[in-house]
Amino acid sequence: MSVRPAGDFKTSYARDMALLDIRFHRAGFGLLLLVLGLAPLLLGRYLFLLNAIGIFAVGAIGVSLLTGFAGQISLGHAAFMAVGAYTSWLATTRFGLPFLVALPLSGVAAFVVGAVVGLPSLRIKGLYLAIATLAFQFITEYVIIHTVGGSGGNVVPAPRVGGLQIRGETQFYFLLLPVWLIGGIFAANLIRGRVGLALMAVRDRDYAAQVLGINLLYYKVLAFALAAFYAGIAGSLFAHYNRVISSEHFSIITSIDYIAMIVIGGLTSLWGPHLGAAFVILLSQVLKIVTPAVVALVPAFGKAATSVREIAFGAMLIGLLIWEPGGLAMLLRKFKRYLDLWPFTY
Amino acid sequence: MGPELPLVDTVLTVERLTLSFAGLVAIDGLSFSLRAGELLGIIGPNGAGKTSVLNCINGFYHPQSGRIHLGGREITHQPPHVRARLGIGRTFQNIALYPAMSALANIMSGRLIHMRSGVLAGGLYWGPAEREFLRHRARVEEIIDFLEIEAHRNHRVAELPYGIQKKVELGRALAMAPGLLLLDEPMAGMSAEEKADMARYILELREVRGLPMILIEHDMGVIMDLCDRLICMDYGKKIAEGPPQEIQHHADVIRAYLGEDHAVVGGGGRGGGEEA
Ligand SMILES: Nc1ncnc2c1ncn2[C@@H]1O[C@H](COP(=O)(O)OP(=O)(O)OP(=O)(O)O)[C@@H](O)[C@H]1O
Ligand SMILES: [Mg+2]
Repeated sequence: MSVRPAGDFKTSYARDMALLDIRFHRAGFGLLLLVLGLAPLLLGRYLFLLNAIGIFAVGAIGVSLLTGFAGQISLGHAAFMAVGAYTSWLATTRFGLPFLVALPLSGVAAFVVGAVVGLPSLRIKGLYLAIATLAFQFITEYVIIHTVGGSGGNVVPAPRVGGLQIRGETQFYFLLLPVWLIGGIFAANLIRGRVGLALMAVRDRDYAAQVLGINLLYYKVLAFALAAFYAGIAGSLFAHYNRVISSEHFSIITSIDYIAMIVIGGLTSLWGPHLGAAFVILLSQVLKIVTPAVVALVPAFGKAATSVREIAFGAMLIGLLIWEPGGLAMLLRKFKRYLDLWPFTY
Repeated sequence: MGPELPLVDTVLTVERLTLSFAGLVAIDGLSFSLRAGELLGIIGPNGAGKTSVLNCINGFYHPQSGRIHLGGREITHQPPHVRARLGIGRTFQNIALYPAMSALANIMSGRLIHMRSGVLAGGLYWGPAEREFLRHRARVEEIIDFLEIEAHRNHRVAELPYGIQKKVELGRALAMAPGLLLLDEPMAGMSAEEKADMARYILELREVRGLPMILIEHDMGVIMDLCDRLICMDYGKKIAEGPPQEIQHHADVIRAYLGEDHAVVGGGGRGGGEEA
């Protein structure tokens, strides 16, 4: 249930279904777009953080569709990202395709791989599915190491769009931003329409979904394929942003980071993947700066320092699961509700 | 709209159906048919095999032998989602709604089989996909009006009272615009008032829409009032079939119920599974 300002009644089904249903939300979204547009000015040399957040937010949208809305777990999301990254690398280096072709191609390649990986999900569930996807994760890492990637990784060219060579954080940001926005809005539309309804039905009670005519195999496979598509796009963006890729960029750690992102951000919120990606990237960055400083002050801390990131995320996840399973998105909503009611906090 | 069943007199035929679980015979050579517009009741003590019959009809259980025809078409080996698309709707003995979703979304999910827009159109939403979704939304609102649950439409079903959940589940099945409706104890655990409401809906579905239905119910008063014809099962077998007045006084039926309980009215007492 949401609390809306008095006098603001929904007057039609269309408005009831709208993504941003009241003027307040529209204004808020407009402001967000404005801030995103001006981000290079506002952030200056910290823009690289927003680039990283955007890339991983696109990937995390996929996890939110798969895990949050379709209820299927995957520990192989980084592997889907790898499929996209290496497709983009192959397409632009070996086949000389332009970036704007390589990007969707990476999504499609990952989509196909995702569909295949999703096939067993009809028979295996929960923990066993997690293990099966984990196997896919390790196989992918193995394949990368033993085929394309020697030591040092593979070099990816800077993206060219039209005649323009994309260089530097600001130019890349304006390449990323539309992809990020379109990806987020596309997923939001899917979720409020037919596909979202079917996915949630499968998540909430699969046998009842069948009785309502939902083909479980189709929707589970679709969920995997869509999740992989988003990961593939994120992989392509990452490859052209980082300019060098290796199996280490797409390891199990990254897969687990994705899970952390959507749990922290909010599993069943459209804002979840974005908030979660921002949180995980920012916290990683803060720890990168803070940890060496602490070690310099307290040398005994040195032993724990290598795993401080994992410990921080682990503690964060456990805390959220106990106190706020809705994640940051839910905390924000509660905060907004509190503001709406303030100063009458009943 | 909705899946049209061919205009034949029998909507459903079940022939010599046999289902067993590791030695336990749940259905034993059961045959019956359902005529167009008919409301058929299935009664019997707990564990008699009533729910198992519905599970065979909608494809959850795979009978070891026997055949099921829906409107002249054999469906014995079709998966559940195909049977749903052929027009079989059902409700469950233990409510099987989507607990985290609103009542509206639950009922809306019944319209999924009638939606055509693809993934791409859905992701773009504006335009045809939106118009389609809103058209179905309007149908769902009609059902919400019919079941008088307007006030509950935006609540998560897990938070709704039991009786309302039962209504939402009926609504979800109706949203499919089924050609055959299977109701597994739709009034169990309801207050007298809620039971009366439910009976009214069922009657209206039969009288106004001529919707063929199979109704499992332990409340004999209700079933005697509503049904055109009754089948009584015991230990997986059909022990009696006929109009309600006849069944009520049928010696075998009385004996089946007297096994442990002492009255037909109020339901049987033999232990049995409560599986979906
Ligand atoms: N999935 C299953 N696995 C094993 N046994 C089952 C299964 N489903 C049903 N049974 C058994 O089959 C028999 C018939 O069960 P069923 O649920 O069809 O009875 P019912 O007539 O619906 O009873 P009730 O009035 O209690 O709902 C019972 O003995 C039950 O334990
Ligand atoms: Mg039963």
